[in-house]
Amino acid sequence: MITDEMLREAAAESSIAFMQSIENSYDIDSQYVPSLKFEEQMKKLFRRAKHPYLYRSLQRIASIILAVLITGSAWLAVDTQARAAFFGWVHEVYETFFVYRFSGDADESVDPIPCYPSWLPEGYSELYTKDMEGVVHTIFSDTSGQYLKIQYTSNLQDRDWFFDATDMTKHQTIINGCHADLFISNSKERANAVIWITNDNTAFYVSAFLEESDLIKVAENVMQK
Amino acid sequence: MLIYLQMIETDEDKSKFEQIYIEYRGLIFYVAHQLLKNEQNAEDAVSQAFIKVVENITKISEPICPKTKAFIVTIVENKAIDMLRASSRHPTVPFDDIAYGLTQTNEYSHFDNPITKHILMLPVQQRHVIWLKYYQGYTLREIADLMGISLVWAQKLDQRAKKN
Repeated sequence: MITDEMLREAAAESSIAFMQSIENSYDIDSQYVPSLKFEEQMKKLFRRAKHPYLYRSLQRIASIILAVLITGSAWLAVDTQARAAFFGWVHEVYETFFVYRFSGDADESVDPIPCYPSWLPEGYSELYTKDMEGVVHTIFSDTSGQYLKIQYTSNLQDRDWFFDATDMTKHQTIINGCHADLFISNSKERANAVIWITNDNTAFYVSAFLEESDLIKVAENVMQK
Repeated sequence: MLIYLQMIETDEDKSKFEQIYIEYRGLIFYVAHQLLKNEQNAEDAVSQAFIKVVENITKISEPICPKTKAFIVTIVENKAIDMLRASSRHPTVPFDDIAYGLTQTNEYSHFDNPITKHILMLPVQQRHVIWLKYYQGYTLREIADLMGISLVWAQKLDQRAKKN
């Protein structure tokens, strides 16, 4: 009876032997010079490798958007009670993808009120703030280069926020009296995150390589300037 | 408006792929060229292999180590073989009979472990499945994606390799 352990051992031994046989005939000094076209392809891959989760997620976004539109529209079309319930901040789940959508009476002309965390863990300082079509992004970094991101908007009309929760566990929490979704990463390569909406319809997203308690503390201390 | 909430990631992956590329590009081009005998086709195979590496970059813990090197060589060998099959360059020769790597009996006769010998004598696709599953730790679903084959075919290759 051949066990998996025996197979693992033999697979490793045979693979190493195979590699050695290749390397024995490979002259490391006769490195080939890649063509320009190949180098360009590799540069694209470098960019892609920098954001593996983003690229994987973007591939799935198109189908998810379609699913959101079809299911959401059909649901609202047939059910008046659902239509009423749909006005507000809701989220739908597609595999590990969360879609946060606001549909209601939000004022489209509202500019976001500047917000800033009144508390940050030691060592963090602001790198930059950008307002992109009513959505404000602020990035902080600590001395070791770890990032902390705060994103918010008061202009929620017709906006969908997509969040890929692969390798994450979702929990419920409260941020300053508001219900929030807390995502704890199961991978050391991805940050934890918390998403919530305030009573005055400002949506927030905070993501950082922090323990749950510190992340919530940052979130609770995001205040109007 | 659709907004993707991009998760913050560590810098680890930023350099991981570049390290892999710089360290192994010469070797895997050599492997591809040995099989394809053409620089352009070899670059295509290498490029396809690196796309698979990028797609699986988060599963690679050590960029420079024998296991990662074996993984990349397995993938490029698989891509080159796919291209050979597609090009029908050897229409009358079953691909698994094409000599490559440790194919001579005297090259693996010194192994004490009969399973090791047996794996080295397997047809190339079956050998890849065994290495990816039992050495690299991928699931059959992941292997099917890596090798560009169906899950059912990956399962069959796994069964045949163990049955042989």
